[in-house]
Amino acid sequence: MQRRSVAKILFRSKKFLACSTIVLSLALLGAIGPYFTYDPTDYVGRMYEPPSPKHICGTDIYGRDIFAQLVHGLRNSLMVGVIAGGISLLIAMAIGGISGYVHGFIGEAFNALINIFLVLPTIPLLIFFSALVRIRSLFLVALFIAFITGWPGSARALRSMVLSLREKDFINLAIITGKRTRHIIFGEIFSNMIAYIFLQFCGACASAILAEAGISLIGLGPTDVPTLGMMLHWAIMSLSLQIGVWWWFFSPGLVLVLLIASLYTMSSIMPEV
Amino acid sequence: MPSNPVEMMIVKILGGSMGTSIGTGGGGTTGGVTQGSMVEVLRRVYSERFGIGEPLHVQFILFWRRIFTFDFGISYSYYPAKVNDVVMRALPWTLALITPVPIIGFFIGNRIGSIVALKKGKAANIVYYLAMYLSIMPYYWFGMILIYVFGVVLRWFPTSGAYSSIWLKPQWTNPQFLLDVLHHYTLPFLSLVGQGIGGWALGMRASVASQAKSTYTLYMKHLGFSFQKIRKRIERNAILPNFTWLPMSFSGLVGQTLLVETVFGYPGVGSLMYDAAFSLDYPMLEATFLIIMLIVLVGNLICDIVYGILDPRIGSRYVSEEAQ
Repeated sequence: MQRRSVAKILFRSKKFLACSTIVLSLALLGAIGPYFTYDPTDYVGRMYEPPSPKHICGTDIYGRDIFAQLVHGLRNSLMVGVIAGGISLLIAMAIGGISGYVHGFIGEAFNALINIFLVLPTIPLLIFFSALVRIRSLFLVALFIAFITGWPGSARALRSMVLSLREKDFINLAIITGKRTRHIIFGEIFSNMIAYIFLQFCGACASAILAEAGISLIGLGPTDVPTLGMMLHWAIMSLSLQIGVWWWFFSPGLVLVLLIASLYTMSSIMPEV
Repeated sequence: MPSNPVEMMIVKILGGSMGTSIGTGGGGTTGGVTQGSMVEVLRRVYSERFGIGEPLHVQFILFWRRIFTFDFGISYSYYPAKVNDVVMRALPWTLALITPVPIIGFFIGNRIGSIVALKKGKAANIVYYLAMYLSIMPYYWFGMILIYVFGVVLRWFPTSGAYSSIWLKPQWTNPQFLLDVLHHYTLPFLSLVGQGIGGWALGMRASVASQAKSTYTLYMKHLGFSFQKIRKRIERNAILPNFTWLPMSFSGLVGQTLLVETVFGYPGVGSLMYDAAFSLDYPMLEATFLIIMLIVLVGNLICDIVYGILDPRIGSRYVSEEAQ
């Protein structure tokens, strides 16, 4: 009964419906697209071919198909988002839940931890990390984003939600019946916030994708696979902007904007909990 | 790829062709100067100069000494220049880019938000939603669009650098040089400032809307105050909750500036950090990171002081605590 009402709450909003359609169709493109396009590293055309029916998004400086890069990059960016977003949400639930529910010193200490991590500048830290680890897989970058920069924002949001739920009657009832704290946090509080947690996951995904794109933009992202940010990096480094090749940087940026804007809009909807 | 700054330095000195032969330990030859023993000597000299050959705990102490004395020694990637000199040369550009952005973004965003909340007009709404979309858009991509539209298609603004290459070095007393700097400054500044406006407008709209419903507004309306005067009162009160977000925005802004500097080839701290990360220039990385944290901290301090001025209740509480 609980689960169904969550879906009902979310899909009642037209905004949510529209944005989730965009995200799902992009995810579908990223999931099945790579099986139908050229290999993103193959030289399939002439240099700097403008968009045409054969190459939907044109070709780059080496004559590689940009649409193929776009689809592969989209898949990898989404993977960063889901991995980093999922892990940072788990951390955020643990730390935000404890800091919101537990009174006294422990709660305050966890709150201080959130506040400290909240002001750490993301991009410089990621640059620092990339200088230390020379060969980075997609998974490693996603892990780093999750552990250092992904979770504090969600943790703070979840904390304030837990703070308000803590005062409800059913929590008092659970305390009186002698349930354990861990059970109350995860079984009683979080199970009543599933819609909200899902929206936080969307927000965490968007921040992770944005962080990865930012670090890839300067060539310090994952070194094994192309992502949307790395396409922008190639477009800048080849100075194609300065000679007027707009199709190389335009399409990855547009996909990035669509993805991030939809995810953020989804996460900004406030469901009644 | 060499994974040690000393190896990188040697490769740089001897030319890229040496990269493989060093790795295998054999003495390659370029120009007849370098035998294996020569490479060993170079390696020893640079290890000693960079302090890399020391055991780990000594290096750790050296690291803290560098942090506390602000003396970061020699840069690896700008060898033999000192890190401090290089950073100090880059710092004014970054400060020039970063300082006006929160101020101007805050004012424009607040103005848009308050206009949208008080007067329901079509034009104001269009501007508001434009600002919202701008703030969701990744700023570096926005910067690239600006480069393409205004730099390449229309040719109004230069596409990279902080000043034209005809000026061999900055001449701050020359008015023409200043004009040239402003000309180069416009696009990176716009791509940074566009990012913040939407967020401020959003906060201000909510804040003004809640103030407009309050009783003092109604009272002023009944007393017959003009709309301008009422608006001034409302804005004065509504700006406070929005202002508390300003210090929070600094750490994000620093990262944005770093990326925008790289996109525009602006010679600031961000470009240094980028170079340092690629060439394993550890002292440079430490110095740039410290500078960035200092910028964030000083920004927070200034915000706190300004908040005391903006909100007299907070300011007077500080004073009264001092008096006790």
